[in-house]
Amino acid sequence: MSRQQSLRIPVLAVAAALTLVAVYMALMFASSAPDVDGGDVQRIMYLHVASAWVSYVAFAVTFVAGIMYLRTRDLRWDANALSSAELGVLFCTLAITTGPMWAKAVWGVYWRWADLKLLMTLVLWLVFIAYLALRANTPDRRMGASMGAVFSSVGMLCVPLSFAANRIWTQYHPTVIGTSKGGLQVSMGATLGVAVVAFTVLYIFLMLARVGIERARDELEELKQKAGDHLG
Amino acid sequence: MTTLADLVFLYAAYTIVWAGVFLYCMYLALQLRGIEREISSLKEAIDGRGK
Repeated sequence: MSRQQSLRIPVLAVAAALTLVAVYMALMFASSAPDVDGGDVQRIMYLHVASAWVSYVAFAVTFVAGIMYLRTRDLRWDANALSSAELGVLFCTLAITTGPMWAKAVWGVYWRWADLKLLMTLVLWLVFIAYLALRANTPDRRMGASMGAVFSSVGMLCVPLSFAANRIWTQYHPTVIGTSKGGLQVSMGATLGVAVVAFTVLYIFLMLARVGIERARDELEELKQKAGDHLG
Repeated sequence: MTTLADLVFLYAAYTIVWAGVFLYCMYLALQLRGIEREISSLKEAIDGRGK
């Protein structure tokens, strides 16, 4: 068993435990804060913010791994980039679908096209879906890795824009961290912190599993070549 | 004031997140199983030919 495989079980255990604690805190411990937009519905925030955070981390990892691939031409970096992009799209999808649940309850509409935060996050999501489509439709592995690395650099530009849009252009999307209007209540801040850590550990576990699949795929390709030599 | 209709959105959001993560884990497990099956059949074919 490789070191990476042996890490999977303890990381999964920590992710599962932290996630359970985060859900308990989000639903039971944190103040319902009726003065905050939406009362109990604002409890969606703990999942929404944590998902969005992990998607930013995942896209940043894709970008860094892509740059490392271009420098070293080592396909292991590309496996990390591709795996992280897939996870980024997963968590960005979760953020994009949970946000409208809160919006419908509080704003009365699922989506506001005029809000730049929402728009930039949608663009970020579409860029990385295009990245995955590009990778899936490029048969040459090295060509796909190089094109993907360049493409993810463009996608990375959307990450700070998506993160900062509501801080630069105050519109509809609330700013819960780093606002001058006062931060969260202690119980809400602690719950959000645990949720963010839980989702980050969950991301690490999923990365280990996803990269493991890429390694298995590489092994399969090697075996196919070997089999071609032996049987052909 | 939270209404029952609002709580439906809270329930839906939590369900979407856990269903999403669970389905992705299932997808990874199925992919890995398929690759491992292919690897073992190829190994058997190579070993069989080598004997």
